[in-house]
Order: sequence, then structure tokens, then C-alpha cells
Amino acid sequence: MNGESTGKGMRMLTTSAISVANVTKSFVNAEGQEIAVLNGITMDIREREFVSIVGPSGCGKSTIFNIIAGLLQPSSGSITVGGEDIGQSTGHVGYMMQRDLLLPWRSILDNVTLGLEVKGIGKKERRDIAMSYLERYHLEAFAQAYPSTLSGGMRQRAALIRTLVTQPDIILLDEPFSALDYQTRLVLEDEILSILRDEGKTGVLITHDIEEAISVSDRIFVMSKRPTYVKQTYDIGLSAQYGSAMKARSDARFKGFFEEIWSELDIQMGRVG
Amino acid sequence: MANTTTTGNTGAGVAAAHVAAQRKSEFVRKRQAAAVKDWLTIALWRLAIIGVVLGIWEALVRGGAVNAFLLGSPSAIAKMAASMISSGQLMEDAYATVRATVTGFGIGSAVGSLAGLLLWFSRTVSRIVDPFVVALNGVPKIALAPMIIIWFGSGIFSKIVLAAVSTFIVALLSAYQATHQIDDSQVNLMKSFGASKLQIFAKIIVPSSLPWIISAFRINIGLALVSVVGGEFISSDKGLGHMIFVEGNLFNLPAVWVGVFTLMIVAALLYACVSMLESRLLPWSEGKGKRSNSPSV
Repeated sequence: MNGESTGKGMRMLTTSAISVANVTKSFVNAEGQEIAVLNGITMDIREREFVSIVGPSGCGKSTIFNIIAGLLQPSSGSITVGGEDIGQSTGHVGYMMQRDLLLPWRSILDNVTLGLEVKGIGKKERRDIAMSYLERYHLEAFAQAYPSTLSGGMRQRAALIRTLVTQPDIILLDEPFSALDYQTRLVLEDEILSILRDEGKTGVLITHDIEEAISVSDRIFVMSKRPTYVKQTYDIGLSAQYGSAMKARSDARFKGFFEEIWSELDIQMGRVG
Repeated sequence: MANTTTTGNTGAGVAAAHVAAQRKSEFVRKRQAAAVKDWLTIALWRLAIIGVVLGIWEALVRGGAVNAFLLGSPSAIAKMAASMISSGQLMEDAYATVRATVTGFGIGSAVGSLAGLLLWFSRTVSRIVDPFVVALNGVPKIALAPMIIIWFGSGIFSKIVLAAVSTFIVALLSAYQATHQIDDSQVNLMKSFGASKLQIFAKIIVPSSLPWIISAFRINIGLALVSVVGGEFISSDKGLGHMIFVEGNLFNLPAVWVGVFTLMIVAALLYACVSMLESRLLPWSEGKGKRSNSPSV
């Protein structure tokens, strides 16, 4: 069950979408001390896979994402996306952040087209693309509305569409559901999962919610506390088996996974609580 | 039978809806009437206060309790205003002042805001100029007036320069500070799309700085007027400041009062114009939303 992620011989058939090799990251704090955040992260995420990263809060999960997206440079180690070293480049992954980050001065339609605008796609074309997505995910009535008039769930859905319209092969999801109420969250989890499956995307989700991770993931990486490394990898695959995150929650193995991962985290959180 | 019931039901439904609509419109009408009444009460109180103050003033002057020569009187001021308006002098002076104020404000605010925004591109340059900008901002701008008048003459041009210089610094500082209030996550979002620095500037930095820039406009329009009038005091051939200064030297208090009241009106009108500009430029802003949602309307 505690699958080894590195067995290359075993994974011959699948190519890796993201490969993180021995990545470390340190910051210098206000007192001039060096703070190590990432302590040699190695993970291999396969194409079309949906994986979650779970870890104690403040363990530098978002730092990993920022490095994969090219927003931060690692202190050492390398990131390979789609077989190519990313170097200093950005724009190779879709990145959905914790907050929806819809720009208040743009209508929903103009927010959703932001990525296409950056990539230099013409106004008419990008509006057509965006409208088809808005229609597919039932937001077309709000195309001309300003973000402040939408509910949290709708805003998060608009943020997801903004990520999807640029057609990235890989989507990073940094706790996109954490601000939502429980019901909206369950619905959106399922929605995002089926969207990514249908479109053949690779998804990486950061979450502090173990149940969420188990219900949506093919695999889960459990991180240690700071300085962070990958402590354990779990093969889950419930949502792939049932085709739904909601149904995955009622599987008999769900509780077992939860207890295992919880105890893995509990050791570190015990001190805080 | 079934048919009639249905029709009856629908009829009742429509009627109920209609009654509800009517009740609602009645409710709205009541609220609107209350709002108008509120507004009228406040306006009447304001007029009453003005009336009472002017009345007491006039009475004191007529009764000989205060010296009409030193204070002027409402009736003398009104007479003076009438003659200045009919001779066209008041309009001419007001026009000169407004023109210099608006032109100087426009140039200073535009150039200053632009410069402040552009400083976002270079952390090094902005760190170099920072103490100079802060020092310049500390100087009361009117202290520059004598020099500027020496350099640019006593005509309207020197007043425009004075207003432009005063507003430039404030505009620059607020635009520059606004670029430091940017939400880093929005910038990261743009970077994750692979955006260039210029794209981040145009799509994030400028629009999110706009509310700060425009609130600086509100300060600047008043500052521009102060600078122009101050410059007119020192040396000029027309303008409200010129008129107040000259008539003051002649102890013509009613004319000075006319100048002061005209300045009040000019200042209020200019401020109103800038506020209108604000709601035009920031259609998404909270202020607008609050206004349109306000229960009184």
C-alpha cells in the first residue's frame, strides 16, 4: 500500500508529467539566519495522474508549487515538466491558487480570458473560447458581472475556468476549496476531478484535508514538517475506481487510509495540539 | 369544472402577484418619499443656518455694533457681487483662476501619476529617488512661488507651473505608494500564465493603483487652487487671488468677501467634477456599489 514512487522499472509505460529532483529551498529571515524550508524533495508525477500533497501547516507546500510553476527558483535541485528542465521559465503549468484572485476591475468574462490575453490571443477568439467554457460550467449568465457580485463557489469556479481556458496539460491546485462551505466543496471536488479526467490533464492538489485527499487522489504524498521532505507515498485510486470523489468516500478502505495518513501526520502535529 | 378551477386558480395567482407587486411598489414609493423628505429637511436646516448667520451679521452692522468698514455687510456684499457680475469682472477673474487651476492640476497629476507608476519598473531607481521625493513633498509648495514667478513671469503661465509642481509631487507619491500595495498573488497569477513585466504593469499594476491615484486627485484639485491663488497674491494681472489681494489693499471688504465666496463655489464645483470623474473611472469600486445599493434611493 505504501507504494514506492521511484521504481523506474515498474513505471516504464507511463511518462512523467512533473519530475522534482532533490529540490531544496532556503530563505534568509529578518535576523539574518538561514531557514531551510525544503529539504531535498523528490517526486515523480505521472501523466494524467491526480495526486495530492498533504502535510502539516506551514511545511512549505505552497513553496513547492511556486517552484514547480517557476515563480521561485530552488536553492538546489531541478524541476522537469513534460521532459524539459524548466530553468527560469514560467507559463508551463496552470496554477489555481488558494484565493480566487479574480481581478475586481474586470468582468467575469474578462477575468476568465486573462491567460489567453497574456498569450496574445485575439479578443474575439478568446471571448469565444471563454464563453464556451462559461456555458459548459453554467456561468454564462454572469459573464458581464463583476466578481464582487458572485458567491464564493461561483468565484472559485470562475477561477478554475480561467485556469482551464489556457489548456495547460498540468494543473496545480493550491487548497482551492479551503474557503468554501462543505457542500459546495464536495460538489466542486467532483466537478474538478471529472473535468481533469475528461480533458486528460494531470492534477496536483495541495490540501490540509486528509479526507479530501483520499477521495480525489490516485496517490498521496505525505510531507514532513519543516524542513520538508516526502515522508511517505500512498497509492489510493478510489476516485479512479468509482469515477467520483463522492462515491470514493463510502469505500470500505477509506477509513483505513485516513487512519494511516492521520497517524503519519499526528506525530508532528501532536506537539502543536 | 376542472377548467374553471384552473382558470380560477391562475386568476387568483395573477391577482396575488399583482397585489404583491403593488404592495412592493407602494413600499418603494414610501421609502422614496421618506428619502426626499429627509433631504428636504437637511437642505432647509442648512438654508436656515445661512439665513440666521447673515441676518445677525446684517443686524449687527446696521445697529452699529460692528464696524461695516472692517467687516462688510451682507447687503453691501450682494450689491458688490451684482455690480461685479454685470461688469463681467468677476467672471473674468474666476475664469483665469479656474483655467490655471485645472490646467496645472491636469498636467501635474498626469505626469506625476505616470512617473510614480513607472518607478515600479525599477526598484533601484525608486530607492535612489525616494528621499528626494519625500523631502520635496515636505516643502510647502507655495514657498516656490516667488522663484517660479521670477522664472515664468506674472501671467497665467507661472500659475499653471505652480499648480503643476504642487500636484506633481503628491500624484507621484501616491502612485508610487499604490504600486507597493499590489497583491503579490495577483502578480504571481500573471507570472504563472507566463506574463511579461510590461503585461503585469498594464493589466495589474495600473488598474489596481487607479483608486489610489484618483483619491490623490481629490487632494490635488484643492492643492492646485491654493497654489494658483497664492501665486496670484504674489504677482499677477488677473484672477480671484489677484482681485482679493488688490481689493484687500484698498480696504474694500465687500469685494474681498465676493472673492472669498466665489472661491468657495469654485472649489466645491471642482471637487464635484473630480468626484464624478472618480465614479466614471472606477465603475467596479465599492463606493459606487454602496451608492447604488443605498436604501434611500
